[in-house]
Amino acid sequence: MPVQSRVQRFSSWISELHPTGRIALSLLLCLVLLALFGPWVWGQGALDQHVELRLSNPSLHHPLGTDSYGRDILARLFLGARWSLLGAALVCAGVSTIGFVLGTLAAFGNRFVDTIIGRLIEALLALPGLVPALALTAILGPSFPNLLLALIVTSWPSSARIFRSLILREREAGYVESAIALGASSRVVIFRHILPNIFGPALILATANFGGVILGLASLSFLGLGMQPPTPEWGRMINDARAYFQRYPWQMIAPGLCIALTVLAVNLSGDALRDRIAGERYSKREMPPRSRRAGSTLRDVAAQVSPLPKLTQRAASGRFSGTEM
Amino acid sequence: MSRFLIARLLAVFPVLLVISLLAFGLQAITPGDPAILLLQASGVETITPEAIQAKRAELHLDDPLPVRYTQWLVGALHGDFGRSFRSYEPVTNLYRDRIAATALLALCAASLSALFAIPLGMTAAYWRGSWLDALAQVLAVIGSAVPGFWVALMGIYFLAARLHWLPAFGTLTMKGVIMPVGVLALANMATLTRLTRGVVLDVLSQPFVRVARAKGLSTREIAIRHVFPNTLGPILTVLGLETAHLMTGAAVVEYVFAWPGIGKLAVDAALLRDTPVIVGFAIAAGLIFVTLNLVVDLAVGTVDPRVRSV
Repeated sequence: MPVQSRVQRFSSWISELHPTGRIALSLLLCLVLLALFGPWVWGQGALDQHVELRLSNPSLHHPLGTDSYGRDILARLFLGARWSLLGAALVCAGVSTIGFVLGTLAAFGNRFVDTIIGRLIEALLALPGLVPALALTAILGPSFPNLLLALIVTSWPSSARIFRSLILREREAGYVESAIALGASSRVVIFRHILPNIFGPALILATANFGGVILGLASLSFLGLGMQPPTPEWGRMINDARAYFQRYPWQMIAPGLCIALTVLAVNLSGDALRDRIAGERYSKREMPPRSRRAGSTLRDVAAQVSPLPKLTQRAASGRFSGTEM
Repeated sequence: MSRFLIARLLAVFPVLLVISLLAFGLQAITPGDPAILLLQASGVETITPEAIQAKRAELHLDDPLPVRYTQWLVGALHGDFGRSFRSYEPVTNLYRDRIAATALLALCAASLSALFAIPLGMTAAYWRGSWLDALAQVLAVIGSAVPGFWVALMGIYFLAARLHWLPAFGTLTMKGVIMPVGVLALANMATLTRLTRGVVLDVLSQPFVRVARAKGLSTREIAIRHVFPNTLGPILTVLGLETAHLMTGAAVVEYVFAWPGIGKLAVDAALLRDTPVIVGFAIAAGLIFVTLNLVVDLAVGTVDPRVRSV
């Protein structure tokens, strides 16, 4: 095997993706760049009010027009992208952390701990989608941090469930047995041996829900339970535009298209990455033993995780293939 | 079958227990004194400290948490979930009066989506790689990416405000039902098409299909006798769960159309921070889910004997 740099390996890996996946990944990259640099490059301030220009139609100076406070809608969309992407990333990171901790506790703890966590997961999965998040945000008080907190607190169960089964499987592996035989403590086994090996699948798992989280954030913000004015957020912008949508439909169409486009890009990229990993089974390239090991767990996750809603996943992968915990 | 039935029924209790603990916990962390809020809601003009004390004693607010939980649970088992902080109506009545409208919406949307999605998913799987398959996939991908409340607003803009074909608000009339049902079915269809396609492809790759082919059965016979019965289980499961999801997760769409269902009730309560009604929604959602899950499991157990042996 010729010596390749990391960058070359990565680019060749990307180039073997499905074309749709490549387009989606580039689109996602563009969206991230726009979120990072858009507000800075586009000179207009998202919060600058120009009362004389309130509710104007698209023009050269304001390509998407202005809202009821005379604020530039394009600038607000850029800033909104930041909050949507950052918020979803924080939620996914939080969910993964809780999922990892509780999954490890369930997998390494005694029978009692395992049963308690298992029952808790089952019961929380019985509460559908946004219902607990809606209730918790409303009670904590509507604000963006509270919304993120509510989404994290209510959506860790599916993550914990998959972490538990991943860790249980790794625990049976030879390398873990050897480490335990050498006298490694549980902590060393978990953090030094198991964690690096499940990192890949964990990352995929975290991104699989990314699109759903963006939609959830937008829905609850639309209801007024998330980002508070004047900070722009896509869902909130749609709600603000409702009062004027008969005459200025663009104010509502644009943020909606942004949400749809982002979720589409995220879902398709995720699909393509999972397909690519699942397809590695058929690749003729030689791989070092460790990455092959990691690859095998990656494939398992690729089979388990899809951006379908939680319920569907549970029905499709849990009950009928006998992999339910 | 009876052992399966008993096992499934017993599994419901721990779930209900956790849901009740969560519901009680949500109530316990609510800021503000429920006694004062309830006295205000009941229309008492001047709230005296004595009245507050009496109300607190009536609500057992001064007892330790475990005692309060037990008392709350006893009340809940008798159908008493407290009163709204705003209208002073009993929460149970509020939900009882609105559940039918939501059920109507959910059932119509679920049937409509099944009517289109199942044949589409099956055709897509059979003619894999054809333009129909491509269309099904594109529909599924877009359907799961577009926010439902935005589709609802677009529908209102184009069909109601521009073309004047349909009313802008959901009402319990033939015309008023079309748009809410259509919007909910659209999102549902995406999931269902994708799932049906996957399930059919999965069944088609099973050895028994190959055996049937080797026996010389025609494609049609294989489809009707071997493929379709084996796809029923997963499809029924998802359809049931989606219906439960439509009854509870459609809150935002209900809110946009001002549909007189439990979702709109919950969203309005959330905006007013009316805790008893919000908690009532979590409980209602949990009950709907547990019930429909049970029904689906039993239905699947009936059509698929493999599930029963678990």
